[in-house]
This record gives sequence, structure tokens and C-alpha cells, in this order.
Amino acid sequence: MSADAKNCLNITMLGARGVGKTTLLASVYNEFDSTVKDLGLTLCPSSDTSAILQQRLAELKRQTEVFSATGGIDGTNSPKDFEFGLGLVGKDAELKLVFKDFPGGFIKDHPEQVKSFIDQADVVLLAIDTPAMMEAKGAWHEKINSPQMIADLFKHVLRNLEKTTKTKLVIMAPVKCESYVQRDVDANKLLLTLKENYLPLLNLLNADEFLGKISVVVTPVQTLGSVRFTRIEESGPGEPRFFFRKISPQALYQPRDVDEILKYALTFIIKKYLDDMGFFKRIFNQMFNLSKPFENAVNKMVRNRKESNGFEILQGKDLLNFDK
Amino acid sequence: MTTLNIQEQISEILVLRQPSVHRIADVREKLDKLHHHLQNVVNYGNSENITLTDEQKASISALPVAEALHQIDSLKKDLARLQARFSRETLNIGVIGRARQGKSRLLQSLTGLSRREIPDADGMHCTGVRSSICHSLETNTYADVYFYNESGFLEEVIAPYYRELTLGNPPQSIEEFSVRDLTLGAKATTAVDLAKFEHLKKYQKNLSEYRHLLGHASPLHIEKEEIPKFITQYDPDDSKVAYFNYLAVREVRIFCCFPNEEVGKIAVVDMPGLGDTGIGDEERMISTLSEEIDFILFVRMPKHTGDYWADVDVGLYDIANRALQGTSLETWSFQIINALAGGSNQRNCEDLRETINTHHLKVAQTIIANCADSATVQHTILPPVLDHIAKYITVLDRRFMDACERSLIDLQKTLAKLAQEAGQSITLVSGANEYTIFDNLFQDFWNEKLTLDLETLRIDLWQRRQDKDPNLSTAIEIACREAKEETGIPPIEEIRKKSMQKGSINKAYYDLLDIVRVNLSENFQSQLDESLKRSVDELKNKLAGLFSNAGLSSLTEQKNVSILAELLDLLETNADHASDLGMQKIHQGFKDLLEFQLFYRGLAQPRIRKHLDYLTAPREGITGERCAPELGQNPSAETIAEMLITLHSEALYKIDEELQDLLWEPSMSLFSITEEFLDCVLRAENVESSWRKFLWNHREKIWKNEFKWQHLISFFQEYSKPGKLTLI
Repeated sequence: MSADAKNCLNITMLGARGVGKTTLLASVYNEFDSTVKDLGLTLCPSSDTSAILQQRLAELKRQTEVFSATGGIDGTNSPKDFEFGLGLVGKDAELKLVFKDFPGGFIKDHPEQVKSFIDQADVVLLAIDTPAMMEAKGAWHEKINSPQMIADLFKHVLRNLEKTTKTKLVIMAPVKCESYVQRDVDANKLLLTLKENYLPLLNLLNADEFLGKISVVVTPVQTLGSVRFTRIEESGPGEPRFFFRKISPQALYQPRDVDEILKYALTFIIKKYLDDMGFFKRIFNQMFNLSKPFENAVNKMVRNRKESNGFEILQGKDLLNFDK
Repeated sequence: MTTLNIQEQISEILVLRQPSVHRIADVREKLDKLHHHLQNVVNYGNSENITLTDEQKASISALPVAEALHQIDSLKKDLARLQARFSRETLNIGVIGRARQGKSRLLQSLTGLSRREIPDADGMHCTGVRSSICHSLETNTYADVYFYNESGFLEEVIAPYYRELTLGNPPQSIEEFSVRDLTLGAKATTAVDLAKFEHLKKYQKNLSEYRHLLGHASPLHIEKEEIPKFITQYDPDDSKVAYFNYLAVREVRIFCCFPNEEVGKIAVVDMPGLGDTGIGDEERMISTLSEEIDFILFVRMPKHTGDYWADVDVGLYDIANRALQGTSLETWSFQIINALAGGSNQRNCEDLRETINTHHLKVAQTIIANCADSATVQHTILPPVLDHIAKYITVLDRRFMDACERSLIDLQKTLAKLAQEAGQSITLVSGANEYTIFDNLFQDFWNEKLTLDLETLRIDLWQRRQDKDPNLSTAIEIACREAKEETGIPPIEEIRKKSMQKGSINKAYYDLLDIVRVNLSENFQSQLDESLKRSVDELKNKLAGLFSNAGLSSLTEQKNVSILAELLDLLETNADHASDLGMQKIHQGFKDLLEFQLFYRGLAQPRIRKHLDYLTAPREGITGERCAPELGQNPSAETIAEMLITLHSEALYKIDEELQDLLWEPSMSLFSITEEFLDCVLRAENVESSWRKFLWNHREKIWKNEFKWQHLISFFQEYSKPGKLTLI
């Protein structure tokens, strides 16, 4: 694989400390193969990446071994890059996917660095701690999810949009949302609450000048599937701990809709670089041979994307669809 | 009337007296109250009262209060006697006669007793112990002995001697009596006085013999054989044996079966004659007669050597007549003239019978008979007596009642006069025109106090209508804390045991789910209900306090919320209630307020219920997501414990969250009920004039000082109305 910076696709993960960004990544990686097999693609992590992700995955699965999951998963301590090689099955990786993951506290302490990461990212994956947003009438949302801080970050980034990636996909991914998407009416409530709680950010993003350049989707993911939020306890003043439990002792590890993130990300990227006359197109052409099967597979992926029950493309639908 | 149903008649007479007893007691109570009130009036007009001018005091003392008080005192005495009379269980026949007239023989013949129980009036044996003989259906003869207590003995028996014989101050204690020297004064020289003195000395000399009986528990039940010991000086069969008990005996009641079994509830009372025994006889006789006797038999035995009606006979008759308040002995006395066996005094008997009228000894019948002959007495004396009693006793009862009734009417007249004069003096005593005073007071009550206070409260409640109710808040806190501490989840060992007892771990699990769930639910229910009640009561107390402060505190002795109930009562009994719409509205307001309650069941329970779903075991119709999770493979007691703890904590957390949402609801409810209450009692049409009427009716209680005079005389104004004090 070439070490060319231009071969890199940057995906930045934002979100609160301990919300589960790394874990989310591990889950996404775990689902990758089944999601993209029709496309004949394969994702290859670097060895460091592999080790960490495996560990994370194991920790995640361990959550389902006990009825009440009181312990959390240890957070990331410093910014990390997770590198994947994206290529055709059986061939060398042509493209590097770099997921930038950093601890929630990092944004506060090094805002400039973070801003430059986001400037370079095509896709921003915003992980949202759903219980913090939904429970206690959202009392902990500001503290845990820091929506204002996120909005402020984007203000800066958007100013540089023309000079950097020109278009972006913002995936707002509510995680730990098992308790809130079981029925349609609940999922819709989740969506509504999200829109209310992120109004400043959404208003920023759907300003006229950005409507056609930024796509925003909401993708609630259930990384465990068989757990529920059970209660909040304050371990100290202003220090809430969220507790979860399995729905029943024999429930299994069954993540859901994790692959949707991947579907949206991939279709965005593919569409972007199909439209771009630049360098990447050649690579893509070589890689994918733009054959009919590939096209069909991509269209199928688009069709299979969930766009309801909590999932919604808030803006920039054109950037995600392949209309000929 | 035959003797066959005499018994029934007598029983009926006694029964018919009972209602009178109640009525008399009733009137006595009213008289007591009246007395008290009149006394208050006197005290009010007392010269030491600084709130009145001299002119006002003079006006008060000019009222005929003293006259009324005097009449009341006299009436009270008469009524007490009358009540005692009517309360008796037997009709009493008193036998009056001097010694040696055959009284005892007559009694023996009537009752079937012997001279052991009824000693012959032999000067030596006569003791003055009052004895009555009551007919009883029991075959055994027995008696109840009543003793004097020490103070009664000194007062009623000994003191009269000291007074009459001028021996100085009567002794104040038995000890004193026992040691005091007895010497007759120079003034007492007649034979009568000397005889009386001997009696007194006898009391003193033999004190040690009978002293222990003074104050003995009465009555003392004794058998027939013992009777002489208590009523005579010497044993009737052996005059060498002396008894002293009689000195301490007040009276003896003997119960035996009369020869004529069908006499019914009759008793005969032996009444000592004049001058026969000791001092004090006359007073005792008078009081006995007026309270205890329904019919009198005078007994007189003329000497065969010649006899006539003497002064002493007339004296005795007069005393008896006086004692009966002049209701005329004529109707209820018989004169028995004792004929000796053998007829030796027969002519004298007839003489006496002929001349009885000329001496104004008026009796209903005069009967000549041999008192010692039981059969004669049974046939000749008893039937007419019973007959006469049955026929006339109700008339006589009626006469007593009428006498009292007349006195009551007199009292009423006095009270009416008093009320009229007091009414006239109201202006003088209470100052300015009564209505003006009231008007000012009412304005103060209505405008300055009640309306302002209620509005202030209302505004406060409005401003706080969305505030959290502190009682509810605390209750939820406590309930959560207690629920955390007492989950109802037993230790692991217990769970293990339970699953063995139940035979399956699932059953144990379901059981425990129920226990935990019910614990949780009950915990909240009791805490919340209590706190809601507290909040409601606080509001009611506040409102009650406002009415109290505005001036109604003296209308009732109640405190706190009971004031509201009391006001409700008063409103209900208000005269205008039925017709006055404003009054009805006010009444409605108070009623609704009093009945208002907040309950956990209505307010919170439905909202809590859904959070208990995860603690509900699955069953037919209740399965799936919204009930407790099933146990997994190979569950252990530890698994169950862990699950229960987690599910319990979850339910508790969610219930707490849910309840936080309704913390403001009580405030809103309290505000609403207050609004409704004020609409009724403050703002509805015409309520002000209804309040005005209501307060006018109770003005003496509410504003005691301003209407003090009014208050004082209101009571006897009430009683001056005809029919208020009556025995009818």
C-alpha cells in the first residue's frame, strides 16, 4: 500500500468521554465483512489496530455475560489512529482508511488539533450518549455530550470547508440506544429529542451555503443489542453513573444496525469520488472496475439502508444517492 | 277493686312515676344552670367591676335577681324531695303513733313478724331506730342495717342535745365527745329535759360498745335472728342481755314475706312518736314523711277507763300535716283505733271515732280493729288501705307535682319581669345602640380581616401553585430511602431454601418477584398517602385559622380544622338555612372543603404501576417484554438475587423519576379547592348579607365583651318563656 497522504480517507470520531467511540469502531469493524461482501471489498486493520480492537470487542462481549453491567469499558487515553487498508478481496489494499479516535477530554484541552483533524476528515462520526440525552429529562446531556462544544468546533471547521474537503458527511450516531428504539414510536421520540438537543449544531449545518455540501444522517446503533438502561446513580455530586442490564439472563450478544454506519459512510465516499475528477477517481476505476456487478451492489446497499425508525437523512440526500 | 289486682295496680303506680323522675331531674338541671347565670349577672353588676359606670351598676342592682334566686333555691329543695319520693321502689305506709298505742302490734300483724323484729313500744325497749319492713317474695327474712358515719352521728344525733339543753358547743369529733364532761345547765330542769339528758349520757357512757359501728359499711346484711341486736336495748326474750348497737344505727330495712302475699311492692315504716325517745325525732319525722311516706296510719288505743283526743294527738297530726306541705292529710291517712281483745275499750273506741272530726283530725277513714289480731288486721285494715292507696295515690302524686308546677310558673313570671327590665336597661348598660355596635364589628370582620386574609392566602397559593409540595417531596425521599434499605430480597441462603421448599427455582423466583413488588408498592402508598393528608390538613388548618383570627374563635372551643366542622354544624342549624340561598352556598363551601382529600391512589398509583412491570412474573396474557425476564439456563440463587436487586433498583429509579413529575400537583389541587371555597363563602351572590345574619344570631358569643350584657341576660330571657321550665 502506498503511503501517499492522498490515498487516505479520514474519518474523525467525535463524542463524549466514555460514550464508546472505540467500541463503536470495533463493532463496525466486526460487521464489515458481512456488510461489504457483495462489493467484493475487504478491510484490513494494521496490527496495532487489530490488537486494540480485538481487546475492545472482547470487553464488549463480556458485558453480556453478567445480568447487570455495572462496570464500564475503559476509555481511550490519548488520540489514536486506527488504520485500515481497504481493497479488493485477494488484492492489495489501495486505500487507507484512517479513523481518528480521541478521548472526549482531548477536545477541551486541544481544540486546535481537533479542529485540524476535522478539517481533514471527509466523514465525521459523532457518537452520542443516548441515555444521557434521554434520561432525567436530559439533565446530563450537556455535561456528558457537550453539544455546545461540538457546535463551536463545527463553526470553525465550516469556515474552512472550501479549502479542505469541500463536502462532508456528518453521521450522528446515538449509541447505547437499545432502550429507546424498540418500537417505532420510541425511535421517533429519540429522533425528535436528538433534533431538539442538537438544534444549534443542526442549524449551523443546514445554513443555505452548506445545504448542498454537508450531509447529515442520524444512525442509532445498538452495539450490544440485548441490554437496557436501568438507572442512574450519582456516585458523587454531579457525577452520574449510568447502569445497564441484560433484558434477560440468557440474552446473547446481538448488535444491531451497526452496519448502517458503514453503509452510509461507504456510499458517501463512493459517490464523492465518483463525482470528483481528481486523482482518486483513477484509483477507484482501477480498483472497482466500475463494473455492473459493482454498480448493482452499490445500488443495493443504498436501497438497503435504513432510512426510518430512528434513521433519517437530515440533509444532503443527493450526496448519498446515485441517481443517473 | 279487689285485692287480686292490687299488686298489679301498685306496680303500675310505681312505673307511672318514673317519667316524672326524669322530668324533675331535667328541671333541676335547668334550675342549676339558671342559678349560675343569674349569679353571673349579679357578679357583673358588682361594685368592683371597673368597666361599668355607677349608673350602670345601679341599673343592674335594681333588677329583681335576688327574688329569682330565692325562688330557685326553694324550688330546688322541693324538687329534690319530690324526685326522691318518685324514685322509690315501694309505696310506703307510715305508721304513726305514740308509745303504747299498739303501733308495734299493728306492724306485727301487718307483716307477720314477731316482737323480736318489731319491739313493743315498751318505754324500756324503745330505741328510735327507724325501721321499715318491706314485703319480699323470698321466704327468708333478713335485714339491711344502715349505720351513721361519724360526722352524721355528731351532727344529727348528738348536736341537737347540746343545742336544746344548752350544753355549749357540740363536739366536733367522737374523741371529743367521749371525754367531755356532761353537766346539765341550770336552765334545763323539766322532767323532759332530764330524760333527754339521760339519753345523752347513755350515748356517752356506752360509746365504746358501738363506736366501731359508726362509719361501718352500709348496708350490713343480717339474718332474722340478729335483728334485735341492732334495734333494741335488751333482748326481747331475756331482759338481762343488753344491746348497744342501736345507738349507731340510722335505720334498718327488714325484708320479709307479708302474710298477705299479694300486697305487691309495699313497705311499712315505723315512725316514732313525739317525745318518746330522744331529741331530733320531730325533724327526722318531718323529713321522713315528706320524702318517704305515701300513706299514713295513725294508731290510737283509748284506755278503757276513759280517753279522749288530747293535745299531743293534735300536735302529732299537725306535724304530719306540715311535713306534707299542706297537701292535706285528709286524703291520705287513716286513723286506726285499737280495740282491745275482749272489748273492754270498745265504747271508748267508738267515742273517739265520733269525736275525731270535732278536733279537726281529718282523715280519710277511721277503722276500729284489734291491732294485735293478725287476721283482723289482714281483713279489716289492710284491704281498705291498699284499696285507698291504689285509688288515690296518683291524685296525691299529682298534687305534689302541681304544687311544684305552680312554683315554677311563679318563677317564670319573675324571670319574665326580670327579662323585660333587663331588656330595657340594655341600652343603658351596654352603651350605644346595639345595631351600630354590631355593624362596626361586622365591617371589621368582613372587610378588614376575613376578606383580606383569604385573598392574601389565595394569592400566595396561586403563586405557589406549580411549586413542589414539600410534604410529598419529603415523603418520596423517605419512601425511596426505605425501599432501598428494605427491598424484601432475602439473603442468598434464604433464596436457596425457598427454591427447595417450592420445588423449583422458577417458583421461588416468581414468589420473590411478588414479594419485592408488593413491598415496593406498599412502601410508596403509605408514605405518599400520609404526606398528602398532611398537606391537605395544613391547608384546612390555615383556613380555619383565618376564620378564627377574623373573630370567630370564640364561637367554638375547637382548634384547628375542627373549627370548620363546628362552623358547618352551626350553619346547618341556623334558622334561615332552608330559605337563604347565600347561607346554603356558604354551607356548601364548608362542606366541600371539609370533605376534600387527596389520595395516592388517584394521584400517583397509575403512574407508578407501569414501572412495576419488570417485577411482575409472566403468566398467561402477560408475557414478553413488559414483564420480568425469565431465568436463564442453570439459574442459581445468586442469579436470582442479582436479578432481583437490579430489577428492584431499576423500578425504584423509574418510580422516583415519575413521581418527581407530579410533585407540583398537590399545590395545584390545594389552590383549586381554595378557589372553589372562596367562590362559595366570599364571592357568591348575597353571601355578605348571609354572613351578617349568621353573625348577628351569634353575636353574644363572638363578641362577648361588646355584647356581654346581652349574653348575660340571654339565658334567662330564654327561660322566661312559658313552657321552658315545666314538669308537664
